[in-house]
Amino acid sequence: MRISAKIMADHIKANLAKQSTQLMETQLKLASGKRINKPSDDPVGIGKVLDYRTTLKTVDQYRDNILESRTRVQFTESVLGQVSEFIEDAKKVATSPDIEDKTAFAQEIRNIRQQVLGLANSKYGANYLFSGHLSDTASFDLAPPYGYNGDSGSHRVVVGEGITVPIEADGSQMFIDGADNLFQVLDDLETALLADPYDPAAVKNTVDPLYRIADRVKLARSGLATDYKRLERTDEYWKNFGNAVETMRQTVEDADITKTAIDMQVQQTAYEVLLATAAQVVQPTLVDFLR
Amino acid sequence: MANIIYGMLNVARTALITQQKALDITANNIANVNTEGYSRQRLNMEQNEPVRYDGGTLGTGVRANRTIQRIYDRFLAGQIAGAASQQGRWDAQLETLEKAELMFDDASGYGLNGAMTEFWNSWQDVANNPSGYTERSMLLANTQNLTLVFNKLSRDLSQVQGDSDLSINGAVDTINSLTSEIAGLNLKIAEVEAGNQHSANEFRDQRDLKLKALSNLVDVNSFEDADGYLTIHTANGHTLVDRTRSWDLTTETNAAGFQDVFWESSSGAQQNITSDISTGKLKGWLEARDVIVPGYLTRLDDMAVAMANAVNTQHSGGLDLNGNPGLDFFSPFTGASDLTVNDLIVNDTNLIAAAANTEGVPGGNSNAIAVAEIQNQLLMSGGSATIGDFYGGLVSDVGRFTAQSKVNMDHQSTVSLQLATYREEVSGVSMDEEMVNMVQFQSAYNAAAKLVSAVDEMLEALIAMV
Repeated sequence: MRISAKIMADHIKANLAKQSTQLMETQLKLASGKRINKPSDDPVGIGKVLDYRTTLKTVDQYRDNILESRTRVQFTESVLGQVSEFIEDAKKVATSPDIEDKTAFAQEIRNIRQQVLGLANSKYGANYLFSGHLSDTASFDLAPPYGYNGDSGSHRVVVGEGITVPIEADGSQMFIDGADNLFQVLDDLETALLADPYDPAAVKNTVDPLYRIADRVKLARSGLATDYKRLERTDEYWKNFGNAVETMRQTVEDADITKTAIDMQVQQTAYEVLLATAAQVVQPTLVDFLR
Repeated sequence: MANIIYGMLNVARTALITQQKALDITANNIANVNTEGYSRQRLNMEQNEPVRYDGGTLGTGVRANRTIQRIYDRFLAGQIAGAASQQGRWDAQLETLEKAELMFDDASGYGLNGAMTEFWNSWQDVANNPSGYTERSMLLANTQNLTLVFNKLSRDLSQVQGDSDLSINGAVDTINSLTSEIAGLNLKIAEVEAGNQHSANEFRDQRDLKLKALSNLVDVNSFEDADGYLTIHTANGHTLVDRTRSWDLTTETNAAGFQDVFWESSSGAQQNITSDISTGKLKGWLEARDVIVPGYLTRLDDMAVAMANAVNTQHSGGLDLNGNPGLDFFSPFTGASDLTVNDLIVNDTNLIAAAANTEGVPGGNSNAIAVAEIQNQLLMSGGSATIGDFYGGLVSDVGRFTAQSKVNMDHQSTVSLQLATYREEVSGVSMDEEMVNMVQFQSAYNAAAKLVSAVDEMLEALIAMV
C-alpha cells in the first residue's frame, strides 16, 4: 500500500474530529447533568421524558389543588365547630332557663345569634363559604327572617384525572332544617325569654329545632372530616406516585455522572494519545534524513 | 571512431536533458503534494533508436516519452462522485433537520410541552378559585405564552423551509457554473490531446474535481467518450454536458411558494425534474423542505386545531363571571401559526367562563374543570392519543429523523474517506517516494555530467596527440 502524506493527514483529521466531537458531547452531558440534550440524542427517550414531565407537573397541580382545598376544609370545619359550641350554649339556655336572669340570658342568646350569623357569613379569601356557587353574595340576611341567599352548589376540587371531590358549600343544608332557620330560632328564643308575661312553653318550643339543627351541623362536620381524610390519602398517593415517576424520569433523562466522568477520562486519554501519535507520525519523511 | 566520441557526447546530452526533465516532474509532484485533486505524474523514459554500422550497434541514449503519465484509477472518479452525491444528500438533510430540531426546545424544558402543561394547570387554578382575578390573569398569561410558542414554532419551521429553499436556489446556480466549466475543460482537454501527443493531466484533474463537486449537489450519470469528452446526464437522462456544450437548470416557484428545479432544453422548453432528483444536496434540501419539515408543521397544526377547537367548544358552553354564555376562547384561526386568544377575553378576564351553564356564578367551576380535563381526552390520532402524547410522538420523530440522517451522514463520511484514501494510494504524492526519485534522477544527472567531462578529457588527449 502506498501511503501519501495526505492519507495520514486526512485520517488524523477525521479521527481528531471524531474524538473531539465525542469529548464535547460527554462534556455537555456532564455540564447539563442530562444524557438527552436534544431530541436526536435519544428519540424514544425524549418521548418518555416529555410524558414524565407532563405527569410530574400534573401531579404537582393535583397536590396544589388538594392543599388549597384541605385548607378550605379545615377552615370550614373550624367555623362549624364554633357554631356547634354556640348552639350547645343556646340549647342549655333553652332547656333550663333561669327565670331570674332571663334578661341576661336573652342578651347571651342575642350575642350567640350575632356570632353565629357572623360565622355563617364567613369568607374564605374573597368568597363566602356557605353561599354555594353564589360566593360573592352574603350567605344569610342579617335581619329576620334571615333568608338564605346562596344556591345548592358545592365547591368541586380536581384531585386526579377525571376525579373531583365536591366540598359542601350550601349553608341552607347546615343552618336550616325544614322550616326552622337557626337564626330565626335564636331570635324566637330571645323574644320568648324577654316576653312579658313569661311563657316557658314558647322557650321550650325552641329546644327541638335547636337539636335538629345541631345534628345538621354535626352531619356537615362529619362530611368535611371524610373529605379531609380522602384528600389526605389522595395527596399521599400522588406524593408516592410523583416520586416514582421522578425516579423513572431521572433514569431516562439524567446522565449517570460517575459513568460519564469515567467516559470523559477515557475519551480524554484517547484524544491525547491520538495527538501524541499524530505529532510523531506527521513529521518525519525521507527529507529529514537526506543531507 | 571520432563519431563514437561525439556520439557519446550526444548520449550524455540526452541523459542530462531527460534526467533533468524527470527532476522537473518530481519537483512538480512535490510542489503539488497538497493540491486538492492532483494526480501524481511520471515521466516514461525510453531508449533512442540505436545506430547500426558495420562495426556493430551503437546506442544513442535516452529520450522522454512526450506523454507524461498521469497515474490514476479511471473507475475511481465515478465511485468518488457517487459517494459525494450520497454524502451531499445526508449532509444537506442533516444540516436542515438539526436546525429544525433546535426549534423544538423541549429537551431544555422550555418547549411546547411545558407551555401546554402550564396552560392546563392554569385552568385547574381557576377552578380552585373561579372568581379570583389573579388566577384568571395567570390563565390568560399562560394561554398567551402557549399561543406564542405555537406561533413561533410554526414560524421557525417555515423559516427552516425557506432556508432550504434559498440553498436550493444557490445550488442550481453553482450547478450551472460547474457544468459550463466542465464543458470548457472538455474543450481544453480535446485540444491538448488531439493527435495523442500530449496528455492534459492538469485539466483532467480539474475536471474530476468539478465532477465531484457537481455530484455532491445533484445525482448525475457521466461517461468519457473516445475523444476524451465527458458527457453528463441528469438522473432521468437530460443532458447537462455534451462535448463542449452545457445545458442550464433553472428554478420556478411552485404552488407551495417554493422553487422547483427545471431543465432547460436547447429550444428553451422547461422540464420539471424536481421529483427525479434522488441524491445530492439538492435531494437533501428538497426532502427536508417538501416532506419532513411539512410533516412536522402538519402535525403541529393538527394539534393546535384539535386543542383550540376542543377548548372553544367547551368554553362557549360555560358561563362567564357576569353570568353570560362563554365566547370562543381563541380567535378564529387556521393552524398553529395564527392561534391567538380572543381579544375580548384578553381585555376582560371576567369573560373566562369557569362555571357550567347549570351553575351559579362566581363560585361555579365545573366548566374550568371540564376544560382542564381536555388534556386527558383522546383527541388525536383517530381517538388513540391525548394532545400531550401526540406532541411527545412528534418530538420523538423529530429526534428520530435527525438521528437517522446523522447515522447515514456518518456512514457516508466513512465511505468517502475510504474512497479518498484509495484514490490517494494510487494518485497521491508520497514524499518518501519523490525523495527517492529525486536522489535517483540526481545521481543519474551527475553521472551524465561526469560522462561529458570524461569525453572532454578523451578529446583533449586526442588533440594533444596531434
